Amino acid sequence: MPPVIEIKNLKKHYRYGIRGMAVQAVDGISMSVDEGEVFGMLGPNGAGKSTTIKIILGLLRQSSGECLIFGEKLSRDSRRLMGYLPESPYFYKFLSGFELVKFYARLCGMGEKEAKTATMKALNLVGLGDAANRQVGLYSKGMVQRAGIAQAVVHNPRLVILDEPASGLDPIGAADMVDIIARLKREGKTVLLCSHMMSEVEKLCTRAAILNRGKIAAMGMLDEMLAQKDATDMEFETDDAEKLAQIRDFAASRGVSTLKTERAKISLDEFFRKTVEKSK
Amino acid sequence: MNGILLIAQNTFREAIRQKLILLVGLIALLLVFASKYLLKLDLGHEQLRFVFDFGSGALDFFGAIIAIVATCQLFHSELENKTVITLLSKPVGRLGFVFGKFVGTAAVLALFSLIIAAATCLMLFITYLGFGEAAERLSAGLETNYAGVFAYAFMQWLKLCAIAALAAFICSLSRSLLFSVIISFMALSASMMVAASDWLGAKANLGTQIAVIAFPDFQVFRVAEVFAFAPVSAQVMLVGTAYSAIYMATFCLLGAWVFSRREF
Repeated sequence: MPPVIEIKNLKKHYRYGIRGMAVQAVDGISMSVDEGEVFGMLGPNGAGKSTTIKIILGLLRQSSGECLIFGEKLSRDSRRLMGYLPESPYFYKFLSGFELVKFYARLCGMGEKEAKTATMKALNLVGLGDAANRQVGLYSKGMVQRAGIAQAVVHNPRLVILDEPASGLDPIGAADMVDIIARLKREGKTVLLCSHMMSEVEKLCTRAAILNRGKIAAMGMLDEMLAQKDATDMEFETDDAEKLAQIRDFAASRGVSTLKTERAKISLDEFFRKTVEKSK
Repeated sequence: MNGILLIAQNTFREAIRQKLILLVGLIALLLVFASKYLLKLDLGHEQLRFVFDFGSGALDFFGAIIAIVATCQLFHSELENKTVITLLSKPVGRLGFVFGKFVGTAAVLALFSLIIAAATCLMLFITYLGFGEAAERLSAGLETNYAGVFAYAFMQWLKLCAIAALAAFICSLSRSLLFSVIISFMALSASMMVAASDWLGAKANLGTQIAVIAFPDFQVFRVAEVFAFAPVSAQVMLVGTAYSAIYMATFCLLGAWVFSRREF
């Protein structure tokens, strides 16, 4: 089976000004995304993530290189198998959430009846079932983002491309977004996740690529990339200083030095969520 | 085809919520309704023709404004709000997008033309009723052809669609709403001036000859004015329809071609 996305030596430069000065946005990227995996694409602003995504979607033309979707060049048929959530999505404010998602479902070739059923399913998936008949103009930022996910998955695509899905969301919204993506993963969908939020990528992705200045700076299995050589983390269920000192001494007697000992902590993100949930 | 209709439907819904378009439409309608009360300004024309001229003038002038403003606004709102990115990621295609936007605007123009035609017919009927026993003298032998008024409105709609297609082509080239509106109005003025110079019998130079081909000749549609008080000519209708269809298809295809080369 061919990879869902296969990019070979992709280059893209933009020209600007009267003299046509070129800016290299993507500089020889090669990567592939396999069926059923959540692939993370990370990088600082201007690294070429969004440009790469737009080339995959056919919104930009590459200067050179090749981009194959399901083993073929992008076509109308392959677009039917893709869903896309743009960064900071903006939708028609005059439509209700239901009308908006149904509109995109119909654009993907679904019939009226089928689209209605799929729309309600997608809105329930993202937790917007209760706000389906409210105008998008009245939605909060988080709700718009959820509606964006709903329109991306309403036609049951095999590949879902998410550009900064948690952008502008509070930690609870971001955690919900992680749950939604995890659910897509369980359903066997391939997800290309482009994000600045490292914790999000760490939780969801099996493989990732880090882009910088249009090039791939690192790529591979997340577990392998994040593993520290010659060091192991251990967590003990005690905060007794005496016992910990004994453990340190025991390790030293075996020739293993203790590099760091500190109280185990949960992330601020998790603490915030737990506090808010408790105060409900 | 399904994609075009869906985009057109959405464009129509967006257009009828645009305050500027509603305002222009409302002013045009008020002008038609005011025609009977402005009869005192009449300088000797037949009264019915005077009332009809208000309707045709409103359709002509405000219709052109709506054709240009609505097309440019609806086109550029997709680009400025970036809704076009989500739309084009679906299996729609650039051709589908341009045609969808155009068909949506054409539907708005059809609604406008229909309302103005209906209002004009109503005012002609009310004016005629007001003549009372002096109907024969005051109508000056003119007999209103109500179906002809709608036929004239149809011809004007075809003209407005040609203007909208021209504006859609300009929008596909331009990156700014203001630029698109200004250039579209300039193109409309140029085509009117070409027609005027032709009517005045001015000698055509190379520039004028190119302009004659590039811009629609609106005189083709204006001849339908006679339908309001005379039988409808099928030949004039057919020529106007074919002429407008050629311009619409050419400008839309050119627009789609230019738009397909655009990056987002």
